[in-house]
Amino acid sequence: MAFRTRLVVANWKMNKTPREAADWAGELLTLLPDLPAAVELAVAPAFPALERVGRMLQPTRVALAAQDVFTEPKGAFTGEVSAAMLEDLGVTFGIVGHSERRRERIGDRDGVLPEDEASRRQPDLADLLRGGDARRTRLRGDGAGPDPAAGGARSLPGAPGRPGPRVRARLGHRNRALGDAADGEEAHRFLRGLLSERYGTERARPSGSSMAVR
Amino acid sequence: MTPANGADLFRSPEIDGGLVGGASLVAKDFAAIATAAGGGLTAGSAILPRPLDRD
Repeated sequence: MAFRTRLVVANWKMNKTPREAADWAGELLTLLPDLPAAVELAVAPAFPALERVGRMLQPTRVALAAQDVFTEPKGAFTGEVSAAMLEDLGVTFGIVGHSERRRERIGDRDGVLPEDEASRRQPDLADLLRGGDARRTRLRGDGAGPDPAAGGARSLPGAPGRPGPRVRARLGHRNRALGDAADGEEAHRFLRGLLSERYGTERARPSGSSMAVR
Repeated sequence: MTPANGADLFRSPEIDGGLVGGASLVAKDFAAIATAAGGGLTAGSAILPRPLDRD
């Protein structure tokens, strides 16, 4: 049976010290010596654990991901991390527009990434979007405020209809009570719609062997 | 996405992957979700490349 390529990303959020992260990586490699080629894995540790986990995963099929990427390449932005810094550590994916970063305490906003791709960051770092909160927002029926998933998509570079960088759109669902297949399908359709609007339908459709939005 | 709903989610043709939060903190749970993403198959390409694959 053929599978589309699937990307499964561990987003640890603000959990695990570098030592705990290394223990996890060692355990995973023991638990999963083999995996179908159509499954890609990535892990997004907190920044302090990236290097240590990256060293352990470097010879493996498990990619290294960052939980966030700042918009600017360098400069006076205390506490932020650029795409170039991450790529130097072997990071190949970056989560952008995560709903938890968009809440009040952190306050990332829609369009936090500039429209002009040339002015932003390394083009090879793929973006991961997260759209699961969209349904929750709609189910609550409040309809007020920015839609987190739409915000994530609006954070992507490139004008509508023009090719953007590699984009891998995947999501988890925030609310486990809603995390059945129907929810997931709806959320993915929603996200594809946004990507289609942004980059054109060809790049947003699911394809036979891999996700087209990449 | 959790080990409990992973297989169900991956049966959908619309779903190409997952960003796994809390369940990813336990290696065993993340491994179970990764296995579900592969349709339950455990055989396949080695996660660690064979020596000849390294260059």
